[in-house]
Amino acid sequence: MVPDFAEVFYYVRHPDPAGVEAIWSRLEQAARGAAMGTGVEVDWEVIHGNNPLLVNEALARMMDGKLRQVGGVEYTPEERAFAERLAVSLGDAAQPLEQAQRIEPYTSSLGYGSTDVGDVSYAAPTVGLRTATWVPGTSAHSWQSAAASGSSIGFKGAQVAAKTLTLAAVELFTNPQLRAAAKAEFEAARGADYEYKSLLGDRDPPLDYRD
Amino acid sequence: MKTASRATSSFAVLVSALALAAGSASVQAQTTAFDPIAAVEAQADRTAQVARDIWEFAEVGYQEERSSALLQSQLTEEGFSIRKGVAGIPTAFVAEYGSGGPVIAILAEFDALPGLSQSDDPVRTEVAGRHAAHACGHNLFGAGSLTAAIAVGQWLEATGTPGRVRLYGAPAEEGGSGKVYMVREGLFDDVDVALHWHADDENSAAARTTLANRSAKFRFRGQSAHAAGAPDRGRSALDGVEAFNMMVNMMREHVPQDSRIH
Repeated sequence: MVPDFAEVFYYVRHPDPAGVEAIWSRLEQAARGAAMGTGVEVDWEVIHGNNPLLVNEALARMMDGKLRQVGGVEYTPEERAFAERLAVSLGDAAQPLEQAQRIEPYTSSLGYGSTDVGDVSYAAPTVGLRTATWVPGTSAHSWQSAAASGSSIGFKGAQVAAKTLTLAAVELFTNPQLRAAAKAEFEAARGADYEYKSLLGDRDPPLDYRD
Repeated sequence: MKTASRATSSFAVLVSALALAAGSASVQAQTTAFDPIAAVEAQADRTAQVARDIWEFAEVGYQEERSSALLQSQLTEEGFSIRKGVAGIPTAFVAEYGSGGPVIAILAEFDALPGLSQSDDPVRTEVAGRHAAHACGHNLFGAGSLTAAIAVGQWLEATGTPGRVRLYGAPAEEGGSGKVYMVREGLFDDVDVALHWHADDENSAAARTTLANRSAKFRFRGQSAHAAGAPDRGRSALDGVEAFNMMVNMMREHVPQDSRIH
């Protein structure tokens, strides 16, 4: 049977929204060209799109301090046994379990993932943290991360996050200078003539995208 | 708030007033009156139970009815007011506690990933009948942020601090961009600072940015025909996809280094 329907799902990512747009128009041209050359029709539906995360140094340094005040995740002997067993499946990627206890140094970097928190970070000064809810060496979107997310190790990581976020919020409510510094940095980073633009256009939420 | 007794509360207001007069000593003094860390620890059972429940619901993007309802019921019980079904999304909500002052937002996610089934064993074990899993830890994201929002609300109450804490129930982070619709709706316009966190295998508050992205489904439509009997009458939609894929493969050589196309 010669098929009359076929679909392909593409993601495009770049540090800058304008970079995504530039590649995107080439992708659209390729889709049109492919359809012309094979004598078929093509259309496309944008499913999602995110802005990059706008870092706020003033807030990030504050959050780093709060996280150090709270400290990392300490395993009970049972949790250590769980982690050691799971770590076997990680092979070379496994990291020393002590990584769950320590706080990583404060650095600036680019992560190659994307998140819709990016769009929030262009609407208000935004800051976050990450905690050791998974056995060291575990990647997101794996069965190992799913297993730990349902275990007491995961719940302890959530506690570390809850404590740190609570301390950060208390600091922000009581420190108007920090709020002002965060806002000034936010406005300078966005630029004076910034206008919010979503990368998914004016479409409605795709409520059935998982059907 | 459940755990803030009236006696503690009025004592804290007094200490808070004295502390304000003392300027920079205020944080320390208020911490003495109401320990925010203790307020989180007091909720440890709730944090674990909510995280576990959402982990078991394992609801995928925009279908997180039970997960969203569970978070909302906890917040209602703690005196938060709730706007639900915001931005045209049935499972999105904004919960608020406090009055006046600055607005601090805490984000909460709760969607699971489709295509994976895993128990809480440290070895690969599928759960019969379950086709999604919290492989990105958004059950923890939801429960941890819930706990923080409640603790902050208790602190606002106990110290009599003007200000509002909001929990943003944000669906479909995984490929659904739920928060983008909430931003587009202007739900963050009066927020002073937004806080978030994520599950990981390390503890870090390092400044890490992420890539902008866009996804789309490209749908090719041709003409069906018998592949052997009448191929000349057919036009293959799959040929369209194959030609498109080939062009995109070649394009990958000619895009900036930090791009991703997949």
